[in-house]
Amino acid sequence: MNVKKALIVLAVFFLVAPLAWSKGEISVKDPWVRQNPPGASVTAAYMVIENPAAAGDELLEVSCSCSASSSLHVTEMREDSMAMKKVASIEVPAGESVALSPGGYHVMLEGLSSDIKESVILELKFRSGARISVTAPVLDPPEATRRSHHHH
Amino acid sequence: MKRHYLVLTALALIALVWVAIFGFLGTDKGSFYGDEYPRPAFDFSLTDHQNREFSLSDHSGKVILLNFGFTNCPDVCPTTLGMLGEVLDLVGDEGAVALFITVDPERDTVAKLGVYVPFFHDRIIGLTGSQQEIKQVNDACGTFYSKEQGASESDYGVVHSPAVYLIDPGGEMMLRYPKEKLDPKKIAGDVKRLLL
Ligand SMILES: [Cu+2]
Repeated sequence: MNVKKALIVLAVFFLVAPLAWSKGEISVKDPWVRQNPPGASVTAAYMVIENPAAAGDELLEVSCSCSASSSLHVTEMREDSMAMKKVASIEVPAGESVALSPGGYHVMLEGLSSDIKESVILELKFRSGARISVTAPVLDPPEATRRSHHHH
Repeated sequence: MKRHYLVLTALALIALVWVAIFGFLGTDKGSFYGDEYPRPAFDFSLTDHQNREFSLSDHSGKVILLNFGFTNCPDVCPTTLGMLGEVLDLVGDEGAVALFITVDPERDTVAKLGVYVPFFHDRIIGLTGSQQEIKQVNDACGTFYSKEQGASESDYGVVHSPAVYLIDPGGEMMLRYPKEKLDPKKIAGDVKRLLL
Protein backbone atom coordinates (compact mmCIF):
# COMPACT_ATOMS: atom_id res chain seq x y z
CA MET A 1 0.00 0.00 0.00
CA ASN A 2 2.71 2.46 0.99
CA VAL A 3 4.69 1.65 -2.11
CA LYS A 4 1.60 2.21 -4.23
CA LYS A 5 1.01 5.61 -2.61
CA ALA A 6 4.61 6.59 -3.13
CA LEU A 7 4.37 5.58 -6.78
CA ILE A 8 1.25 7.67 -7.27
CA VAL A 9 2.92 10.70 -5.68
CA LEU A 10 5.96 10.20 -7.90
CA ALA A 11 3.83 9.81 -11.00
CA VAL A 12 1.90 12.98 -10.20
CA PHE A 13 5.17 14.82 -9.57
CA PHE A 14 6.64 13.82 -12.91
CA LEU A 15 3.42 14.72 -14.71
CA VAL A 16 3.04 18.14 -13.11
CA ALA A 17 6.64 19.29 -12.74
CA PRO A 18 7.35 19.78 -16.48
CA LEU A 19 4.22 21.92 -16.74
CA ALA A 20 5.49 24.15 -13.95
CA TRP A 21 8.93 24.38 -15.54
CA SER A 22 7.70 25.17 -19.01
CA LYS A 23 5.58 27.98 -17.58
CA GLY A 24 8.72 29.51 -16.11
CA GLU A 25 10.76 29.66 -19.28
CA ILE A 26 12.09 32.84 -20.80
CA SER A 27 10.38 33.72 -24.08
CA VAL A 28 10.37 36.27 -26.91
CA LYS A 29 7.30 38.20 -28.04
CA ASP A 30 6.66 40.43 -31.08
CA PRO A 31 10.10 40.30 -32.69
CA TRP A 32 10.60 42.50 -35.79
CA VAL A 33 13.35 43.91 -37.91
CA ARG A 34 13.31 47.27 -39.60
CA GLN A 35 13.60 47.04 -43.38
CA ASN A 36 16.91 48.70 -44.20
CA PRO A 37 16.46 51.60 -46.65
CA PRO A 38 18.27 51.24 -49.99
CA GLY A 39 21.97 51.92 -49.57
CA ALA A 40 21.97 51.33 -45.81
CA SER A 41 23.78 48.20 -44.66
CA VAL A 42 22.73 48.58 -41.02
CA THR A 43 19.42 48.11 -39.32
CA ALA A 44 17.91 47.22 -35.96
CA ALA A 45 15.90 44.34 -34.50
CA TYR A 46 13.35 44.74 -31.70
CA MET A 47 11.33 42.44 -29.44
CA VAL A 48 9.93 41.95 -25.95
CA ILE A 49 11.64 39.40 -23.69
CA GLU A 50 9.51 37.91 -20.95
CA ASN A 51 11.01 36.14 -18.00
CA PRO A 52 8.36 34.52 -15.79
CA ALA A 53 11.01 32.38 -14.08
CA ALA A 54 11.99 32.70 -10.42
CA ALA A 55 15.56 33.59 -11.39
CA GLY A 56 16.77 36.60 -13.33
CA ASP A 57 18.56 36.12 -16.64
CA GLU A 58 20.63 38.17 -19.04
CA LEU A 59 20.51 38.45 -22.80
CA LEU A 60 24.07 38.09 -24.06
CA GLU A 61 23.79 37.95 -27.81
CA VAL A 62 21.34 38.09 -30.70
CA SER A 63 22.74 36.93 -33.98
CA CYS A 64 21.36 36.74 -37.48
CA SER A 65 22.70 34.99 -40.52
CA CYS A 66 21.48 38.07 -42.43
CA SER A 67 24.30 40.28 -41.09
CA ALA A 68 28.07 40.14 -40.77
CA SER A 69 27.91 41.26 -37.16
CA SER A 70 25.44 42.12 -34.45
CA SER A 71 25.62 43.89 -31.12
CA LEU A 72 23.36 44.99 -28.31
CA HIS A 73 22.85 48.74 -28.16
CA VAL A 74 21.00 51.34 -26.19
CA THR A 75 20.05 54.75 -27.52
CA GLU A 76 20.33 57.37 -24.82
CA MET A 77 19.97 61.11 -24.44
CA ARG A 78 23.08 63.13 -23.79
CA GLU A 79 22.16 66.76 -23.11
CA ASP A 80 19.85 67.50 -26.02
CA SER A 81 21.43 64.91 -28.32
CA MET A 82 21.01 61.24 -28.95
CA ALA A 83 23.82 58.71 -28.76
CA MET A 84 24.05 54.97 -29.31
CA LYS A 85 26.08 52.93 -26.87
CA LYS A 86 27.11 49.29 -26.96
CA VAL A 87 26.01 47.23 -23.96
CA ALA A 88 27.56 43.88 -23.00
CA SER A 89 24.21 42.37 -22.02
CA ILE A 90 20.61 43.23 -21.22
CA GLU A 91 19.24 42.15 -17.87
CA VAL A 92 15.84 40.47 -17.70
CA PRO A 93 14.89 40.34 -14.00
CA ALA A 94 12.82 37.48 -12.60
CA GLY A 95 9.13 37.90 -13.25
CA GLU A 96 9.62 40.88 -15.55
CA SER A 97 9.73 41.68 -19.21
CA VAL A 98 12.11 43.97 -21.06
CA ALA A 99 11.29 45.72 -24.33
CA LEU A 100 13.81 46.31 -27.08
CA SER A 101 12.07 49.14 -28.93
CA PRO A 102 12.90 52.19 -31.10
CA GLY A 103 14.76 54.84 -29.15
CA GLY A 104 15.81 52.38 -26.44
CA TYR A 105 17.49 48.98 -26.43
CA HIS A 106 17.95 47.38 -29.84
CA VAL A 107 19.95 44.77 -31.65
CA MET A 108 22.17 46.52 -34.17
CA LEU A 109 22.70 44.42 -37.28
CA GLU A 110 25.68 45.54 -39.34
CA GLY A 111 26.93 44.43 -42.71
CA LEU A 112 23.59 43.19 -43.98
CA SER A 113 23.61 40.75 -46.83
CA SER A 114 22.31 42.65 -49.85
CA ASP A 115 18.61 42.43 -49.13
CA ILE A 116 16.54 41.23 -46.25
CA LYS A 117 12.96 40.43 -47.16
CA GLU A 118 9.82 39.24 -45.42
CA SER A 119 11.48 37.70 -42.38
CA VAL A 120 14.80 36.76 -40.82
CA ILE A 121 15.73 34.29 -38.09
CA LEU A 122 17.22 35.67 -34.88
CA GLU A 123 19.20 33.48 -32.49
CA LEU A 124 19.21 34.61 -28.86
CA LYS A 125 21.73 33.49 -26.27
CA PHE A 126 21.19 33.95 -22.52
CA ARG A 127 23.47 33.79 -19.47
CA SER A 128 21.47 30.83 -18.13
CA GLY A 129 22.40 28.85 -21.21
CA ALA A 130 18.95 29.22 -22.72
CA ARG A 131 18.91 29.63 -26.47
CA ILE A 132 15.89 30.81 -28.42
CA SER A 133 15.41 31.02 -32.13
CA VAL A 134 12.66 33.30 -33.46
CA THR A 135 11.39 34.36 -36.85
CA ALA A 136 11.16 38.15 -37.06
CA PRO A 137 9.15 39.87 -39.81
CA VAL A 138 10.93 42.59 -41.77
CA LEU A 139 8.78 45.75 -41.64
CA ASP A 140 8.54 48.73 -44.01
CA PRO A 141 8.19 52.34 -42.76
CA PRO A 142 4.39 52.56 -42.24
CA GLU A 143 4.24 49.40 -40.18
CA ALA A 144 7.52 50.15 -38.41
CA THR A 145 6.20 53.61 -37.50
CA ARG A 146 3.04 52.09 -36.08
CA ARG A 147 5.09 49.70 -33.94
CA SER A 148 7.37 52.50 -32.79
CA HIS A 149 4.45 54.31 -31.22
CA HIS A 150 3.20 51.20 -29.51
CA HIS A 151 5.55 51.53 -26.61
CA HIS A 152 5.16 55.23 -25.89
CA MET B 1 -25.40 91.28 5.31
CA LYS B 2 -24.25 93.95 2.88
CA ARG B 3 -20.64 93.19 3.79
CA HIS B 4 -21.15 89.59 2.78
CA TYR B 5 -22.44 90.63 -0.63
CA LEU B 6 -19.45 92.87 -1.09
CA VAL B 7 -17.01 90.10 -0.22
CA LEU B 8 -18.83 87.68 -2.48
CA THR B 9 -18.87 90.15 -5.36
CA ALA B 10 -15.17 90.83 -4.88
CA LEU B 11 -14.39 87.10 -4.87
CA ALA B 12 -16.50 86.56 -7.97
CA LEU B 13 -14.66 89.39 -9.73
CA ILE B 14 -11.27 87.94 -8.78
CA ALA B 15 -12.39 84.54 -10.04
CA LEU B 16 -13.53 86.10 -13.33
CA VAL B 17 -10.20 87.84 -13.82
CA TRP B 18 -8.34 84.56 -13.17
CA VAL B 19 -10.52 82.67 -15.61
CA ALA B 20 -10.05 85.41 -18.19
CA ILE B 21 -6.24 85.42 -17.83
CA PHE B 22 -5.76 81.66 -17.81
CA GLY B 23 -8.46 81.03 -20.34
CA PHE B 24 -6.72 83.43 -22.71
CA LEU B 25 -3.25 82.00 -22.11
CA GLY B 26 -4.72 78.54 -22.43
CA THR B 27 -6.25 79.08 -25.86
CA ASP B 28 -3.29 81.03 -27.13
CA LYS B 29 -0.39 78.88 -25.95
CA GLY B 30 -1.87 75.50 -25.35
CA SER B 31 -3.15 75.07 -28.87
CA PHE B 32 0.17 74.03 -30.40
CA TYR B 33 1.47 70.61 -29.49
CA GLY B 34 5.15 71.44 -30.12
CA ASP B 35 7.24 73.34 -27.61
CA GLU B 36 7.54 77.02 -28.44
CA TYR B 37 11.05 77.59 -29.74
CA PRO B 38 11.66 81.11 -31.03
CA ARG B 39 15.16 81.62 -32.49
CA PRO B 40 16.85 84.43 -34.41
CA ALA B 41 15.95 84.33 -38.10
CA PHE B 42 18.32 82.37 -40.31
CA ASP B 43 18.73 81.04 -43.82
CA PHE B 44 20.90 78.35 -45.38
CA SER B 45 21.75 76.85 -48.73
CA LEU B 46 22.58 73.16 -49.02
CA THR B 47 22.54 70.52 -51.78
CA ASP B 48 19.47 68.30 -52.01
CA HIS B 49 19.38 64.57 -52.76
CA GLN B 50 18.81 65.31 -56.45
CA ASN B 51 21.91 67.48 -56.55
CA ARG B 52 20.02 70.78 -56.72
CA GLU B 53 20.59 73.79 -54.53
CA PHE B 54 18.12 74.15 -51.68
CA SER B 55 17.70 77.51 -49.93
CA LEU B 56 15.41 77.84 -46.97
CA SER B 57 14.30 81.29 -48.13
CA ASP B 58 13.01 79.84 -51.43
CA HIS B 59 10.37 77.96 -49.46
CA SER B 60 8.65 80.71 -47.51
CA GLY B 61 4.90 80.23 -47.37
CA LYS B 62 5.45 76.57 -46.48
CA VAL B 63 5.69 74.83 -43.14
CA ILE B 64 9.12 73.22 -42.86
CA LEU B 65 9.86 70.29 -40.59
CA LEU B 66 13.60 69.97 -40.11
CA ASN B 67 15.45 66.99 -38.71
CA PHE B 68 19.10 65.90 -38.45
CA GLY B 69 20.44 62.38 -38.97
CA PHE B 70 22.66 60.10 -41.02
CA THR B 71 22.03 57.05 -43.17
CA ASN B 72 24.20 54.68 -41.13
CA CYS B 73 21.92 55.18 -38.11
CA PRO B 74 19.74 52.10 -37.57
CA ASP B 75 17.37 53.13 -34.80
CA VAL B 76 16.44 56.77 -34.22
CA CYS B 77 16.87 58.28 -37.71
CA PRO B 78 14.65 55.80 -39.59
CA THR B 79 12.06 56.02 -36.81
CA THR B 80 11.90 59.80 -37.17
CA LEU B 81 11.87 59.66 -40.98
CA GLY B 82 9.00 57.17 -40.94
CA MET B 83 7.18 59.46 -38.55
CA LEU B 84 7.77 62.49 -40.82
CA GLY B 85 6.48 60.50 -43.81
CA GLU B 86 3.30 59.88 -41.89
CA VAL B 87 2.99 63.59 -41.01
CA LEU B 88 3.26 64.48 -44.73
CA ASP B 89 0.58 61.90 -45.58
CA LEU B 90 -1.71 63.24 -42.87
CA VAL B 91 -1.23 66.84 -43.98
CA GLY B 92 -1.73 65.68 -47.57
CA ASP B 93 -0.86 69.04 -49.09
CA GLU B 94 2.15 70.54 -50.86
CA GLY B 95 2.29 73.21 -48.17
CA ALA B 96 4.52 71.14 -45.93
CA VAL B 97 8.11 70.05 -46.55
CA ALA B 98 10.24 67.74 -44.43
CA LEU B 99 14.03 68.08 -44.47
CA PHE B 100 16.54 65.42 -43.48
CA ILE B 101 19.89 67.16 -42.98
CA THR B 102 22.82 64.75 -42.76
CA VAL B 103 25.30 65.18 -39.91
CA ASP B 104 27.64 62.76 -41.72
CA PRO B 105 28.42 64.54 -45.01
CA GLU B 106 31.60 62.49 -45.53
CA ARG B 107 29.67 59.26 -46.01
CA ASP B 108 26.26 60.64 -46.97
CA THR B 109 26.87 61.70 -50.54
CA VAL B 110 24.15 63.11 -52.78
CA ALA B 111 23.88 59.69 -54.46
CA LYS B 112 23.49 57.91 -51.14
CA LEU B 113 20.81 60.33 -49.92
CA GLY B 114 19.15 60.02 -53.32
CA VAL B 115 18.27 56.38 -52.77
CA TYR B 116 17.84 56.51 -48.99
CA VAL B 117 15.47 59.44 -48.40
CA PRO B 118 12.72 58.66 -50.97
CA PHE B 119 12.29 55.24 -49.33
CA PHE B 120 10.45 57.04 -46.49
CA HIS B 121 8.43 59.56 -48.51
CA ASP B 122 8.73 61.26 -51.89
CA ARG B 123 8.31 64.67 -50.25
CA ILE B 124 11.15 64.35 -47.76
CA ILE B 125 14.19 66.24 -49.01
CA GLY B 126 17.65 64.97 -48.08
CA LEU B 127 20.28 67.70 -47.69
CA THR B 128 24.06 67.68 -47.49
CA GLY B 129 26.82 70.27 -47.51
CA SER B 130 30.23 70.94 -46.01
CA GLN B 131 30.90 70.27 -42.32
CA GLN B 132 31.01 74.04 -41.86
CA GLU B 133 27.58 74.56 -43.49
CA ILE B 134 25.98 71.75 -41.51
CA LYS B 135 27.45 73.06 -38.29
CA GLN B 136 25.94 76.47 -39.06
CA VAL B 137 22.46 74.98 -39.44
CA ASN B 138 22.90 73.10 -36.15
CA ASP B 139 23.99 76.33 -34.45
CA ALA B 140 20.99 78.17 -35.86
CA CYS B 141 18.73 75.46 -34.44
CA GLY B 142 20.50 75.69 -31.09
CA THR B 143 21.92 72.18 -31.22
CA PHE B 144 25.14 70.35 -32.08
CA TYR B 145 26.50 67.09 -33.47
CA SER B 146 29.74 65.22 -32.95
CA LYS B 147 31.44 62.18 -34.38
CA GLU B 148 32.01 59.25 -32.05
CA GLN B 149 34.73 56.84 -33.01
CA GLY B 150 33.91 53.15 -33.03
CA ALA B 151 36.21 50.16 -33.37
CA SER B 152 37.90 51.30 -36.58
CA GLU B 153 38.50 54.43 -38.64
CA SER B 154 35.46 53.79 -40.84
CA ASP B 155 33.28 52.70 -37.94
CA TYR B 156 31.80 55.72 -36.26
CA GLY B 157 28.49 57.10 -35.17
CA VAL B 158 27.29 60.68 -35.00
CA VAL B 159 25.71 62.02 -31.83
CA HIS B 160 22.99 64.46 -32.87
CA SER B 161 19.67 66.05 -31.93
CA PRO B 162 16.68 63.70 -32.28
CA ALA B 163 14.26 66.66 -32.30
CA VAL B 164 12.12 67.89 -35.17
CA TYR B 165 12.12 71.68 -35.66
CA LEU B 166 9.19 73.51 -37.21
CA ILE B 167 9.75 76.65 -39.29
CA ASP B 168 6.55 78.60 -39.90
CA PRO B 169 5.35 79.89 -43.30
CA GLY B 170 6.98 83.24 -42.51
CA GLY B 171 10.38 81.51 -42.36
CA GLU B 172 10.74 81.82 -38.58
CA MET B 173 11.75 79.00 -36.27
CA MET B 174 8.66 78.43 -34.17
CA LEU B 175 8.28 75.00 -32.55
CA ARG B 176 10.48 72.16 -31.41
CA TYR B 177 9.39 68.54 -30.96
CA PRO B 178 11.73 66.71 -28.58
CA LYS B 179 12.15 62.92 -28.78
CA GLU B 180 9.13 62.21 -26.58
CA LYS B 181 6.86 64.43 -28.69
CA LEU B 182 7.35 62.76 -32.07
CA ASP B 183 3.67 61.96 -32.52
CA PRO B 184 2.71 62.16 -36.21
CA LYS B 185 -0.99 62.94 -35.66
CA LYS B 186 -0.33 65.79 -33.25
CA ILE B 187 2.50 67.25 -35.34
CA ALA B 188 0.24 67.09 -38.41
CA GLY B 189 -2.38 68.98 -36.37
CA ASP B 190 0.08 71.83 -35.74
CA VAL B 191 1.09 71.94 -39.42
CA LYS B 192 -2.53 72.04 -40.61
CA ARG B 193 -3.31 74.87 -38.23
CA LEU B 194 -0.41 76.89 -39.61
CA LEU B 195 -1.52 76.27 -43.20
CA LEU B 196 -5.09 77.46 -42.60
CU1 LIG C 1 22.57 50.86 -32.60
